[in-house]
Amino acid sequence: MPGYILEANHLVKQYGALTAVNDVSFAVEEGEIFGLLGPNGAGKSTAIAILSGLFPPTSGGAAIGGLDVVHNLAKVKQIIGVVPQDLALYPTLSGRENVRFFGELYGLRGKGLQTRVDEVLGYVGMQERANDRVQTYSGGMKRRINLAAGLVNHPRLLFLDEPTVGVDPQSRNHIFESVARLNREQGMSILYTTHYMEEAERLCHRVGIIDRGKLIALDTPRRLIAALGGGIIQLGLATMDEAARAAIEALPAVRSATFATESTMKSAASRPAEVVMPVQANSKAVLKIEASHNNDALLQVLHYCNEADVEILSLDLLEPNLETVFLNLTGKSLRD
Amino acid sequence: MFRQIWAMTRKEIKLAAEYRGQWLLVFLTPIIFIAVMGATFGNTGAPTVAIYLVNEDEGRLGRQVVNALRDEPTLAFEMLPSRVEADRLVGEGQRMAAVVIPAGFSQAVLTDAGGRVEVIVDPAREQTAGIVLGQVQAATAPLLIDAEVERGVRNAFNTAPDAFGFTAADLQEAGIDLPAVTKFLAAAIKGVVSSQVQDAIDNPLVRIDVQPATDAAPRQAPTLFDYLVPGYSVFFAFFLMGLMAETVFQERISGTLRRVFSLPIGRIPFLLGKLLPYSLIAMLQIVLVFAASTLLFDYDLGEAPLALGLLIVATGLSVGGLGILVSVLVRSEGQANSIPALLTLTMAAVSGALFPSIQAPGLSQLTPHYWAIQGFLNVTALHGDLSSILPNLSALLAIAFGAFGVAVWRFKHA
Repeated sequence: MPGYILEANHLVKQYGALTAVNDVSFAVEEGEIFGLLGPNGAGKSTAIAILSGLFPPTSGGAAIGGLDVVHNLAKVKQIIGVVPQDLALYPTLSGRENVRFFGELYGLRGKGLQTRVDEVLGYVGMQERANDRVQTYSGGMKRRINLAAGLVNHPRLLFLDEPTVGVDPQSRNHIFESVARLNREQGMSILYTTHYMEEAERLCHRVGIIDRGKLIALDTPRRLIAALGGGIIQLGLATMDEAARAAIEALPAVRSATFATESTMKSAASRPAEVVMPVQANSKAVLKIEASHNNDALLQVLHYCNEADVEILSLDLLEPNLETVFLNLTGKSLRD
Repeated sequence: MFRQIWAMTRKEIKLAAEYRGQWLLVFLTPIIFIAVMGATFGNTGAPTVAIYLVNEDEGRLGRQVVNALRDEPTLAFEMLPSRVEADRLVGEGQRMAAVVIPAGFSQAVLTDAGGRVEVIVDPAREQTAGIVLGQVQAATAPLLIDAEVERGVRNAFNTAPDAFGFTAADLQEAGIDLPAVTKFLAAAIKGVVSSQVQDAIDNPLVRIDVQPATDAAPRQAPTLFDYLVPGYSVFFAFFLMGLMAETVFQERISGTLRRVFSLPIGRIPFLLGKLLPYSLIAMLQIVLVFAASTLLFDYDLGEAPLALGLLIVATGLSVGGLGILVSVLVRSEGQANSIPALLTLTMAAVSGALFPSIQAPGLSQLTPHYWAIQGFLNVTALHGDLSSILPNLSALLAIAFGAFGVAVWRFKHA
């Protein structure tokens, strides 16, 4: 039975009429990389801000390492590391000076501080440029120093808030490798927020999907995708033909068929999926088909439409992944 | 906690070192201002009035008037050869007035019509030029006693024969040389009158006694630099408030503020870590300006180095305290740029930091500037000791700690 490094219970954060985090509960196991996946503005950063003690929740609570984050905040802060979404660094100081400064605020000093600063700079591959000013770095290098500053106190739980936003592929890979190594070699628990489903699939042991402040799904990426089935077929039809919908839903390889809103159709069309036919401007209705197996379902749907003389204006075939899961759960894309 | 404050302080000083242009403002500008103000208004504390002087008279009394005016310390003269040129230059506004001693002045003084000194004034500054009239009258009055006595004796002898019923021919017939007697008696009477006038001046009926204050220590009168050096040091030190507000605002928008507060640091060490470096910079600035003023303007640092040091520390802390309060309260870049500057100028204006003679009574004592400047005056120009500045130290520290307390209360990091 694994222990939990973090337990969040019914967290709520309200700003006037806006509920930024709405009754969110989840737990992160010791040594786990837990992903919070959701579009911008979903409430991921607010959740991290509460959990890292930046401000208290409106209601609900959380414990880290068994310590209440409101009542034992000073002790909690000693065992967590935070890598914020912003490049929260002093640009006129060097990378080393930045990391050293944050280490000093943790109370590190002397040789211990020096050794730890060198270690984390080596970990993120920034030792060679460590003495240059941060303002001379590329975006990716700044992200790596941003990560190093969050590691300087050797945290048990690391909060990584969108750590790859705006970085080049080389730095992104470096960050992935660093995160995976931290988890693998040091057993560090990591709470990783992102709106890139590839990152969540690649790195995270479990993923919580968050939208409009609510946690709407939580499981391993594999199970979340498996629950979706074979994928989604979006069919643009000339009319909202209920008889056609029912007939398609009855096909053996189809799990469900529902008419989607026009915005859903546009969202799907805007993503780089396997578009078989372009969306037509005069499409009147979009039929969203959940397939248990995409190829079989596609053949059966096309055959039915041909036989029943149902006019197809567009067709999207969406492969099963976390993006599709999110689309299926919320009716919109992660990048919206 | 102390290590965190020290880490913050070192970081702030490293960041502040980047603002090289600001350091010119902080360290060099006060010295330039003091030099310019000192050169403009002189270093005696008594402003002089520059005017033209024309002497077209070739007589003795004309020269004496010129010499008397030259001895007047509040007037600075430039001699011009002619009234026409003086009239033209005053008309152009080059000087506020010109004093003209016309040709034949010495002769005219001895006639019934009397002599005449002309003062040409710039119409635009006619009221101010009244100062010149008063000073010309004061300078010429003693000289005219001499002329008045001589004129009076001459008149007496000219009218005496009629008054006593004999003529000049009668006197001549009696063997009396009237011009010689007149000359002799005039000299004698002049001597007696002058002696009595001088006696009256020395022993007036109404005596005004000037007594030094009972407990006052012997010292020199404060010079203009005694006001300018502390005034402008303190004035420019408070410009650091703007830099503090800017750095806190930058931390807010760059995300470093949120990051710092995700670490185990409280509001007090964070704000102290912002306050201390700028207080130290303010202290350094005052020390450098005082040192430069000692070398350049012969500024007297007094005889109480401990009192002076404590006053510099208290002033620096009040800069940091008010600065951190302003930094906490500003919410936009515009506010960070404008509010500290506005506050600095207002406090300097009401406290007399800009112009020693201009203060807003009552209001001035609400400013740290007032307490700092008065304290520095006590220690330096007036050679006071530590006890003489205890109220100043108390006021400055109360402002520093009071402002810091409010800043801690009002500070929001998220």
